[in-house]
Amino acid sequence: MSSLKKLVVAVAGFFLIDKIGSRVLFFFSGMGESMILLYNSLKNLKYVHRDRALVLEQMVIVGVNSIPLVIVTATFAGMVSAVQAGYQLQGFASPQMFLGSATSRAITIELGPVLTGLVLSGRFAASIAAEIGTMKVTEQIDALETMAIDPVRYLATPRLLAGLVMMPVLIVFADFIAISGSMFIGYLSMDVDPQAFLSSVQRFMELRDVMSGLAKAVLFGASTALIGCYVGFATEGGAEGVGLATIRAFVLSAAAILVNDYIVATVFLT
Amino acid sequence: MIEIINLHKNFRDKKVLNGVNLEIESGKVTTIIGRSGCGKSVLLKHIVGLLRPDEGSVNVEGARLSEMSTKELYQIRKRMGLVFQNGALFDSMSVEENINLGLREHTDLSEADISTKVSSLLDMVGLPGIEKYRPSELSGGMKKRVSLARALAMDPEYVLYDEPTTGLDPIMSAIIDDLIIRLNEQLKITSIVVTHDMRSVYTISDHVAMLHYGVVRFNGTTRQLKETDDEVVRQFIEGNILGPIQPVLKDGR
Ligand SMILES: Nc1ncnc2c1ncn2[C@@H]1O[C@H](COP(=O)(O)OP(=O)(O)O)[C@@H](O)[C@H]1O
Ligand SMILES: [Mg+2]
Repeated sequence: MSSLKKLVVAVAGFFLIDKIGSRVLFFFSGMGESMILLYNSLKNLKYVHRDRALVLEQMVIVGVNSIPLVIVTATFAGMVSAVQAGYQLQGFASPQMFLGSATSRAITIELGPVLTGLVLSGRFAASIAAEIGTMKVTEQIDALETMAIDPVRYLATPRLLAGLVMMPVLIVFADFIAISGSMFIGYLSMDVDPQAFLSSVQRFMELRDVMSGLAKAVLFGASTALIGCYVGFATEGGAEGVGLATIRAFVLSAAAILVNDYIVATVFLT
Repeated sequence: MIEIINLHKNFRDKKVLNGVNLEIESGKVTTIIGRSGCGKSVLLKHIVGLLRPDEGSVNVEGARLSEMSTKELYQIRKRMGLVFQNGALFDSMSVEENINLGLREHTDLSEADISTKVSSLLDMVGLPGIEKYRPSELSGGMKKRVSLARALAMDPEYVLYDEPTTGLDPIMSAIIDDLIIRLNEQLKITSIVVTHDMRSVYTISDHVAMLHYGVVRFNGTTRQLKETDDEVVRQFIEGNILGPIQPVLKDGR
């Protein structure tokens, strides 16, 4: 009886480990492949002048089309952080003195990059994966290859660059809007004078707050574009495959934002 | 000359090509026939190096594709044009941009020269004036002809056609056949044509090869094709229901 039990446990354990093992392997091979894609995309940076039209086109797609979404996200993030900070300061410190610094630091370090990043990455990664995935399953990628045009140079590099540049731009933009939103709520509901709010921002904000926010923004932009491209190029199986790829890119890019957020926070703030 | 030597290709456990041997003579029109799903498109993709053989090789002018660097492969591809079975047009671009992409990427032609070239290519495939259309606005047959124009844009020495007349009306098919012959005769373009259309086969071919169960079952001239006593080949070219070919293709035999 007990030897039978052991056997069952051993077999079950084997299958479990095998299953987890293959998942882990799959994960690492995916990581490896996307790093190769990153390397190959960056290798093509030397053609960036020649390909500037492609890059610009992607920047417009990522940037301009995202502005309304960024404005809405950032406004509410800023307003809620003022409410939250006001609540936490109650009885401890005067909002006049500290509301500006509390909200603006939270926004530049964490809320601006992460909320904007999450909202944009879903959109951006999913649309890249859908576009490249469709090109893959309809043989448009093959067509580029047969025309002696490197699909990585033509498709991945411009998207990666657009992500790298536009994500920080949009996040800085979001920071400004969010901080304005905080200031507005501070003035309306806590009688914090905008002048006092701004001097509090100036007094307590540190350079590394801004730097960590920017580092996050750059990393988020890169990981989002990279995941979109990687998942797109790996698409198989017709329209259904494109649908799955879109979802995968959406989920993976959001997860990558949270992981990268933690890594940057650890590097800069500890 | 393109030599295909003992080419094997599997997809997972599915055997598609099982030792294909074929020589494509320069300056000639070689047609490849065979049942749907027998691996004709897969064979074409090996010839342009989009797929890598599991075993065997494809040699273009004596050089083995699978041993080339990406750069060398791209040099060879610039001299080849492939007309995809479903067109494979870039749907984010207009017809004009589809056709001029290769010229813009690989040549120093002026905008004026490029647009003249594009309109003459469109004339050639019987679609004048559709430069500004999007691929989504075209019928299947029009897409295929734009794909042909795109494949011809770089003045290739080799053109591979994947079912160029499937889905076209008989008159358009005849026009495309005529175009294939003219390109071959006037520009000495080496042509490889995958087709089901037996009328095309007899009209355009110098050479015919039939792919069957992963190997070349027949290889010869159109006259030899007409006179063959291989029952399998006869059944295919005559389109008979009864014969040695089973209605349903069995996987890899
Ligand atoms: N990328 C691929 N992955 C898996 N199977 C494939 C792939 N490409 C082709 N096949 C299979 O190979 C066989 C031959 O396909 P194909 O060359 O397209 O046939 P056809 O002779 O009609 O052009 C088919 O059974 C097809 O399902
Ligand atoms: Mg085919």
